Amino acid sequence: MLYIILLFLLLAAGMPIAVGMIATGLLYVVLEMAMDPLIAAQRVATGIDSFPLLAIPFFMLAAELMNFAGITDRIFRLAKSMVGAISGGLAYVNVLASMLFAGMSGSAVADAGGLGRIEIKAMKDDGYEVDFAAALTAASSTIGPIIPPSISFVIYGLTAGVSIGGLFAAGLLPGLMMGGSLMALIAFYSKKRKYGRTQRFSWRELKDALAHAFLALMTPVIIVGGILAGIFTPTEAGAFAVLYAFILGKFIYRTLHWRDIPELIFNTALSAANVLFIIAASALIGWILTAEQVPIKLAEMIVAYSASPWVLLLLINLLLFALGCFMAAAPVIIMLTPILLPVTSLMGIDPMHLGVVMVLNLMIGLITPPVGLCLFVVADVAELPVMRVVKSLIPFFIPLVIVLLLITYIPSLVLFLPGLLGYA
Amino acid sequence: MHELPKRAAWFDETREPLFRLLFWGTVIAFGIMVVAAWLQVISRYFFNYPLGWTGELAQIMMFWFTFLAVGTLVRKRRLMKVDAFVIQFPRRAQLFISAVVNLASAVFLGWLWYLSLRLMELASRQISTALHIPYKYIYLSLAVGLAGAVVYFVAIAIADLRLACRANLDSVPDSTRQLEDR
Repeated sequence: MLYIILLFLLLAAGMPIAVGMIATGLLYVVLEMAMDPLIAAQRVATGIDSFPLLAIPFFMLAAELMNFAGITDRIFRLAKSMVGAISGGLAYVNVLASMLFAGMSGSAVADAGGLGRIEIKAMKDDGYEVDFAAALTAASSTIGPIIPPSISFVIYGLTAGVSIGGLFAAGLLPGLMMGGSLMALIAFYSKKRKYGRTQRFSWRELKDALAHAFLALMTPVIIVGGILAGIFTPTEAGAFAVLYAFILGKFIYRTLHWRDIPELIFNTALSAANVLFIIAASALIGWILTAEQVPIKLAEMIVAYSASPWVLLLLINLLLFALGCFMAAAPVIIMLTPILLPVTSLMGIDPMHLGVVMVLNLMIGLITPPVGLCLFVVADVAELPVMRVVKSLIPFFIPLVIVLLLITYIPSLVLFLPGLLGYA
Repeated sequence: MHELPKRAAWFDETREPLFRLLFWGTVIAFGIMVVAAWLQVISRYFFNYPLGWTGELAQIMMFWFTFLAVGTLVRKRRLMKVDAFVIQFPRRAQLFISAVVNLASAVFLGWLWYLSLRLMELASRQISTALHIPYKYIYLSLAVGLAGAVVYFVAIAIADLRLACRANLDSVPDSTRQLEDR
């Protein structure tokens, strides 16, 4: 307990998460376990000794390349040609474009920063309030890591030992539900605020936009289709996605130049290393927890109090929501999964179900203050104070929380598709 | 937090070569990792002849780019952390807390760096399965990366302490949050 408090104190003081874990782990190994601390170095060094982990940098690089290649413009044009003719058209376009982009990138921040820039400008030019445009962009960016592929699902799958293909399948329906629920809210706003159409519907424009975006749209077919059909492992799919995005950007769209590549690789490497270093450090904490049988003891304690799975899931959601307000999604997944999984498994909760609940909850955390990455990115893009975006965002939490509660308490919404594809 | 002060010339001089080394080391390791994984996919799916060494090379390069990037992440103050509580304090107190935390981080990572040298020694006879690379060269990535991180933690601690001791903090840029990470 003392060491858990120490870890929280170090993190609250602003020590980097991975360093805080290493510091606590080293002190515990030496002072409590009275062992040679060499084991700590060994655990940290071998913490990322896993081939499937390569999927994390690959999916990150693929998202970066796609943003760079200008795929976002093509996706936006396609979404506009599809739903731009409805009242409140551009607001629907915002959500639909995020859903389409979600099938390619798997990162909420890539959506908020890349697509968000185009969406907010277009909505502003079309007469929408910039606060509303920014709030909607932030809310719709959370769909990115739910509709496959998803970097967060890769991290959860590797931490929990759950099939990543299965998680990808499990995220599809909740992702569509998020998009649908946001569109329902837009319908309400459009009627109330009398938003107009963006353009007249034209089959010709739809056909042109589809042709324009066709190669980009093939990305989810190749990545997700390849994984679900059992052709690719997630790591190979990630590598292939990078190759495909590189060919699109360099040789077909010709937006990527050799001189851009070192900087692009460097930025991706930093983002990936940030997550991988926490995974390495968590291997030390995970080893200590296992050696001290903490997850099992905790699971037995909770089961002894006979809490129902319903109550447990509610408590998990509250805990994740609280943590998500202060921390990024990846470290929460890496730190909490090994602790929560034995408890939920004893309660009969499917690990795939837990994963989708965790990730969706933490994605809502990306748009909550005081620490919400997408919130900051969107506020930056819209050139608005963060608190003004937060104020406009409040109504958008309603549909997202409803979807979270639905998938929490109706597991079949998550498990139906993986079951159908033979994963569950 | 803020950028490092430009006045600290001694810090700039030691920073640039190290930064460039870490930059190119990270880019090259990441690039080799990507190409190795492509070779693996292409050889397996297009030629039906999987190359045994590509997966191992990609994994070794992941070790290298990850640990090399840690130093740069420290330099850019981008290592993931919780700053919601610290930013509630007055600027001067924030800088003092940052200096202490960075110094403590340097001590713990310095300890891990020393252990990583011992680990290299221990693993000197172990070799990897496909490429027959001694494990000490794989664990060297941890030692090199941590060394860079420790240097930067100490440098940032000193810079923050010097700023905190300044009479006037008005010219110090305000806190910024990092937006790049996913």
